[in-house]
Amino acid sequence: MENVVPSDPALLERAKKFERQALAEIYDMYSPGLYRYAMRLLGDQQTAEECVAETFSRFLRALKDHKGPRDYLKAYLYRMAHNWIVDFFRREPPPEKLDDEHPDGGLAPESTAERNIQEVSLRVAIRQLTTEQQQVILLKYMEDLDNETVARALQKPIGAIKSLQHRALARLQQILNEEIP
Amino acid sequence: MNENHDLDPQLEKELARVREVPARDPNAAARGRARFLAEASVMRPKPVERKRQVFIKRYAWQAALATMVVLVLVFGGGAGAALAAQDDLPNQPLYPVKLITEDVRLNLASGSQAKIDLLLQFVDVRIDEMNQLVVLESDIPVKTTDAHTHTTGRTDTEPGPGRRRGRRNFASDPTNAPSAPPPGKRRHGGSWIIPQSDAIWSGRCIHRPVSGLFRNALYRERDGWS
Repeated sequence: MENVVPSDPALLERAKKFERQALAEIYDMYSPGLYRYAMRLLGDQQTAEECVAETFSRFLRALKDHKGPRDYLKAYLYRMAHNWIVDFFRREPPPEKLDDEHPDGGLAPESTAERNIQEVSLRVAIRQLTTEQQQVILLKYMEDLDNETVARALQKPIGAIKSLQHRALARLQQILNEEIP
Repeated sequence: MNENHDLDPQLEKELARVREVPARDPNAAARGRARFLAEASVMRPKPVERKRQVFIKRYAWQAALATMVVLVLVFGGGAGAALAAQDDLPNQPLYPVKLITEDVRLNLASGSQAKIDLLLQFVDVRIDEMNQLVVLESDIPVKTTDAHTHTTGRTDTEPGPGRRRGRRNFASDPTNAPSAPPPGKRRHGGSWIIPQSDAIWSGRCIHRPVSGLFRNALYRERDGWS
């Protein structure tokens, strides 16, 4: 489990001055994790790249407007990414059920179709959770973030995060049990 | 996952499978990075603007100070010039400033008596100037008498004592225009100098329109009136 640490204040200060090197370091540091996060939620490489690009674009606009993060840049970026994903799903709602004949084309080809189907089933099940439940599940169990970072990303108290986590797991278990004959 | 103690082992296994995502396309990642940095370079404040802001902040107080110095020099210098001009003679460069200050003083004087007093004072000043010019053996410029005319606002033809109105008559009047230097007096250019009274009688003055006050003063000096 990755401990929550504030972002390097000097790095953030340099980023606020739009220093190219600092911004490049931030992109290299956080964009892979953001891509994985978006990929797990969206299931499409192109859309995930779009999510990452828009997340960093919003970050730049925030810096320009002097509204960027004071610290905890990682939590800030994940929050931006998740907001974009929520907006995306509002525009294009995810499928309620898995279409076996047309699995998500963005997924990597796996060795067996069965494994691919199980993965897609889980992704679809996750998408059926509320946005906050999805966020808790992905941040905590996929990105290995601790409760404090998740709390900062969702801007909620740690107690609320634990409660969300409990309800999300219960709901996910229920969905998976319903899908398995 | 020390905080995942409440996670069902089966569910944890399922989630672990989803943890793996397809590798990110390096080309797409590079394009995204380049796009991000390009966008940042567009949003970056221009160095010229930053330098200008720094310049303004750094030198604003110096510019204000310089402005104040210029204002002091302009207005203070003008006052100084006016003060220095008070001792100038008609053939000196600041003499027009002296005349302007006299005009200003005359315009600012309230009441007829105050204006008359000032005019009389200026007449004395003119006479002093001419005396000084005589001592320096300099010609009396025409502008001296013109200046007095300008100061009084009169192109006077008022008769002085012992003469008639009008400069032609005045000039041709043998009782007024000295035709020859009296004994004990010497010539100075076109003028007679009366050493006893240090007064001057200029033929040029005779032929110029001069004010009655100025002419009377000259007569007083010439004839030894008290």
